[in-house]
Amino acid sequence: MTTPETRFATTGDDARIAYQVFGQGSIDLVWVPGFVSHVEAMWRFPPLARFAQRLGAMARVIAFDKRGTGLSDRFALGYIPDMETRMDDVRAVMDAAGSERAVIFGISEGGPLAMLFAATYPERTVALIAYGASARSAWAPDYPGGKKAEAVEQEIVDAKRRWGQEGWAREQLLEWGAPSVADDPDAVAWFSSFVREGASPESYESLERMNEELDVRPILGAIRVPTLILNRSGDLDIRAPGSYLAERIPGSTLVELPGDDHMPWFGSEDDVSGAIGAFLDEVRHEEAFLGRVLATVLFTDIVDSTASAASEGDLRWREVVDEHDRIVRGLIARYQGREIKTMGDGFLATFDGPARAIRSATSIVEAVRRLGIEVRAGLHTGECEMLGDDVGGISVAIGARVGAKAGPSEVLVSQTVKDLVAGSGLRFEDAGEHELKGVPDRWRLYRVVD
Amino acid sequence: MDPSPVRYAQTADGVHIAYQVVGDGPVDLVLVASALGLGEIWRSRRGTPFLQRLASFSRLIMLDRRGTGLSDHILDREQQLPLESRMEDVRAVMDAADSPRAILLGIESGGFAVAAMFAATLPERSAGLVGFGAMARELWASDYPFGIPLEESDAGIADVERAWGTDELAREWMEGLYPAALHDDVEIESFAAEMRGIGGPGDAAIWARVERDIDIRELLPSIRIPTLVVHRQDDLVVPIEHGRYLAAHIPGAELVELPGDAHMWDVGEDFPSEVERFVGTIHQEQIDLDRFLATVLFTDIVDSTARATSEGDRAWASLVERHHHMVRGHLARYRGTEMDTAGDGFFATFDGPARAIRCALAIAASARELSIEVRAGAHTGEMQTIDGKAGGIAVTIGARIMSVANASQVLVSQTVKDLTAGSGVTFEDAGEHELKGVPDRWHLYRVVDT
Repeated sequence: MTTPETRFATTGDDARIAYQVFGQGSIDLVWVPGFVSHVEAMWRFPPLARFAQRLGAMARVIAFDKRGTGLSDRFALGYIPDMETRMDDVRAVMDAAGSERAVIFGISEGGPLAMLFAATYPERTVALIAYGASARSAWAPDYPGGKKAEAVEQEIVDAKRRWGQEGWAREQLLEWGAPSVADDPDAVAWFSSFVREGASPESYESLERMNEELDVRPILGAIRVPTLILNRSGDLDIRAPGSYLAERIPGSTLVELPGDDHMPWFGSEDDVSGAIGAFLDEVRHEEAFLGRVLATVLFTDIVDSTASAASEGDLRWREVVDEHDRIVRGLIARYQGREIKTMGDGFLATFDGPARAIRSATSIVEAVRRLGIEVRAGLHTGECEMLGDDVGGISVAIGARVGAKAGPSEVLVSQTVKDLVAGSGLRFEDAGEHELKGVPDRWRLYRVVD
Repeated sequence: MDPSPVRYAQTADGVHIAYQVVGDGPVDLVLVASALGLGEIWRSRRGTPFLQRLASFSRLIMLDRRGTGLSDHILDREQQLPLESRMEDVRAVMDAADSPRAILLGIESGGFAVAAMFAATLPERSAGLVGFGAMARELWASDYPFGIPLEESDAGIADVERAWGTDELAREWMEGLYPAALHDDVEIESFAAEMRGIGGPGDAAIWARVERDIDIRELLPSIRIPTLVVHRQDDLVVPIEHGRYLAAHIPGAELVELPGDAHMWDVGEDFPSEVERFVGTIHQEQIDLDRFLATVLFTDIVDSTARATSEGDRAWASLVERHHHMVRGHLARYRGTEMDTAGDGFFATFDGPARAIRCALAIAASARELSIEVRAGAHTGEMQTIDGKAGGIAVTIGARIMSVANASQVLVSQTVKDLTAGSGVTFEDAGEHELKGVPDRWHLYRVVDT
């Protein structure tokens, strides 16, 4: 995999946020990094690159550097952005990447931002994954696992003095980041250069102070999207066990993996991507359900088109079919339908009003007669799966079968359609009970009387 | 009401079409005349008040067809002739005037033929069709006995070549067009000026030859939009039989026979009054076209008054606020659209009934976490947008279903149950109910939370 192209999203306050899009899948995943990050440097370190690739195999990943870090605009001295601004950055990146809705994946310090985003913008959040995350960093009487202010001050002084030095980097890996690789010179070398590329000492201090002020505990109960809480059981950098979040986020799932590395790309990284993959499968299933839309499907087809084509001659028949297509498209549009596709000499269209779908069908049947041809039409209303520009599901199959039962210039509808348009003034005749190929039960169909 | 300045729309084949817009009514009306002459028409005693009258209830769009009036005259014969190109004139003008859909007012044979072809070909852009003094064909044929013989037509064209734009021909024609003005010299001179405003004698002769070859009889059955045919009973130029023929062959067309003998279209108040009435019904039909199928969900907090009393105002207000926040989170997640809050309840619409049910279950469960209980009701039916909100009987039914639900119950109509078959939702029979203000007894079902 070559390094993805870095692009920049412009935020409401005109900051530039560096982001990359990589991988593919039916859902988007926004990776909210922890601590510091660098979207280009991450590809130069094999364990991190491999982790990114695994994510990219499961979803279309949108990775970015938070403002103040990596390739994004750096802070002015002493500037500390608020959570609102940082959430807007996520939205700006999603907008720029053309992502309407995404799974928000927050790692470590990115976790609380991801949680707040999920609670604030449920319409843009498919699901939430929080890895090695805490709702609050600082100590409080009701939050005994938090870090005391004095300890933080000491850390800041130390980190600014030795920012990115190998000795410091090794200590960080050992004390919280990834004890399993603290003796691995490659990991130490990577971490020392990664933090320097990711942030300057001043930026680091701003980030750290911002982090110490964070507390998203009050909004945990407001998160309504499917949520996966994920961490290593021996993680030294989470302030409360995973159960703390799991108990407070309604309906969330907690997965604790063995190991003590805080950074997910170290240790048994397969466990992490495996757990994420399993969760994304559930999410995709749920998304398919959420994508179901009630629609009236209309199928039309030219009667005896093969015989007519043979008798008319190719050229003349092409003209007739072109004119037919023009008329059908016009009458689908007139009744505010949506053309899904043509199939042979027929059309599939969906409507959000069954009465309009019927009027469109009867108009089409009448209008094409002047071309010396006849069409049959069938309609059914039910929940359909919206698959991009296509539709699927049993309701679509039923609509097709109803259409196949119609005779020349006949519009047949299912009982459901008839019931839904009661009061619209449309009239029907009983067209008897039918078996529909591949569909269970017998179906009573009705003929529309024009 | 001042007409807009004359502007030009350019057709795909490069011809500039002069057009004007006047009025700001709710429906667009395109005046498609055989020939108009935008320069002269506003100086005519008849024209101005007539056009102002039309513009009083519409947004009136007027154009000079190619080769006439203020539009380009330098045309190839190829460009000049076909109805298709004249239809393109109308389309180009509608595009330029930002009119997605309009009622076409087809005046006399040529104007009506263009309007009729437009309506049959572009039904999605045609809200309605009106004909005045119109005919499907000018010349006699064995199957069209009220046409004129070829010799009579030839003589008329010879008159055009000899005396177009003179008071002499104006007076001669006035005998048939507007007998009452035969001795009104101002009218005669005005009419002659109008002719000259349309074009020169050579041009006029060409159009006359083109128009007499028009035969739109085959097209009539494929006009599938609301159509009004207005004809004067004693029209001397185009006898009433022509109008009756049109009305008989356009499906569903309405024929209005007005008293009088004037063939001229801008004479009298009765024609614009008919148009106004027709525009009103079209406007209503457009509203009907906006009906859409949706699932309504109503929720309400159970015993809210008693709870408010026992909790105290402030505590209760805070609880209601949390409830509202919770409901909005679920609506976003299940893609519902909040229509209204009434008291302590919500009214929302969904484009998928299964999602509405799941949303209701989620709301009921979350409410219990807040130590309150909600009742919920759902129904699916056609509704329409009234003041930006969904309205109609289906909405009332949804509200009534909710009102018979018990605490923590989600009740739905038979329709909802039928439409969600196969979605994994389970129901229990909740018996038949009377719904206040809604006819019939309604079989309701309780959703089982699994």
